[in-house]
Amino acid sequence: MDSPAWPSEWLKGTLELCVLSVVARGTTYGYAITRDLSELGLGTIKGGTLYPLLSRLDDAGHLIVEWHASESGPARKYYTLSPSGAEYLAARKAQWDQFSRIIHATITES
Amino acid sequence: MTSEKRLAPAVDPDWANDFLLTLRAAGVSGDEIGGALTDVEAYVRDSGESALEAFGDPIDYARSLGLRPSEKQSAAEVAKVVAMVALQTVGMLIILSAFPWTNEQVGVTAGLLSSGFVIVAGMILIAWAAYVHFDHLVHHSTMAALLGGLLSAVLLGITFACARLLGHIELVAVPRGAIIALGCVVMAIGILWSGRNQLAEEPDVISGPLEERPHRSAFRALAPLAIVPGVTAFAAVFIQLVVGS
Repeated sequence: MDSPAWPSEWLKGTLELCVLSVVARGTTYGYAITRDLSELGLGTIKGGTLYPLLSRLDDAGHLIVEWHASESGPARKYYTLSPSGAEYLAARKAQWDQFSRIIHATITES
Repeated sequence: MTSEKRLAPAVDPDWANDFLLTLRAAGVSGDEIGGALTDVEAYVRDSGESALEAFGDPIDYARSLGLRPSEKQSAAEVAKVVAMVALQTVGMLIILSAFPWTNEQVGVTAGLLSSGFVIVAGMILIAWAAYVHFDHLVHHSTMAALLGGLLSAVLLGITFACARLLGHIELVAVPRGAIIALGCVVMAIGILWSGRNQLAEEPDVISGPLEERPHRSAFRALAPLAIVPGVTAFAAVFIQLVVGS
């Protein structure tokens, strides 16, 4: 999907929530996450932005990471949401709902 | 074949090399480096982008991953290796101080002791400085080589100055056999410590996530330990033949 170039600070603040939400749909891998985010309308997320974020989420215990062999190329790292990741995502979603309502109310009343 | 060509044939070799060097300099383990490089390889194959397009500058990207240094690269481990090498070097210097073999006694002079001290202290200082500034040095190899050459020249100059200025002050006369025995004991301690360490630890090579680790035979692990005794024996014979005759 073609999407406008969103202000980078918006993406910076919301990318973690979006990536966790994509991973929550099922076990996936790096490039598939950027492709899904692009199809959802978030624009192109570069590998150089995605992998450091995945690394931080892994360090925080929010992801289960497994390497799988590939017949046609290099081994590939697959990501699954961990139980702590699911809890974290639920909490962040609830916060986001509240936050986005406030923002919406703020900008529509101005 | 280099690690970057084996693990990431689709990645520009210069990009991969800068990426590996940055992570190596940060003390990241070979397993983690191999994993991070395999991630890049998989991504550029999937996306059709170059590593530079997808990940940007390799040095910035490597630092952004926040990978932690492995225990094998900790300051304590590096200090241990420096101590092992220093012991072997001290042993070598003690043995060589007994040559050329002209009579039964060797005069231990203030010049001999001070130059030995300068060499060992200099080695430790250079090793420590290289450890602390490793990240900077690997990305500025020409400057690092010039600096290393300059420091070595200064060290050699001080060593020769000590030997020349203080060489006439004899502190004690010791039998040459005892000097050689002492040197052999010190060198043997360094070699045994190093050998034990080599056998106990697998080398921290860069390997892919599902790659089988290459097995290192005991012979391959221990063979480098023959270098210092070999150089010492060669130098002793050389000194005896050239200086002693």
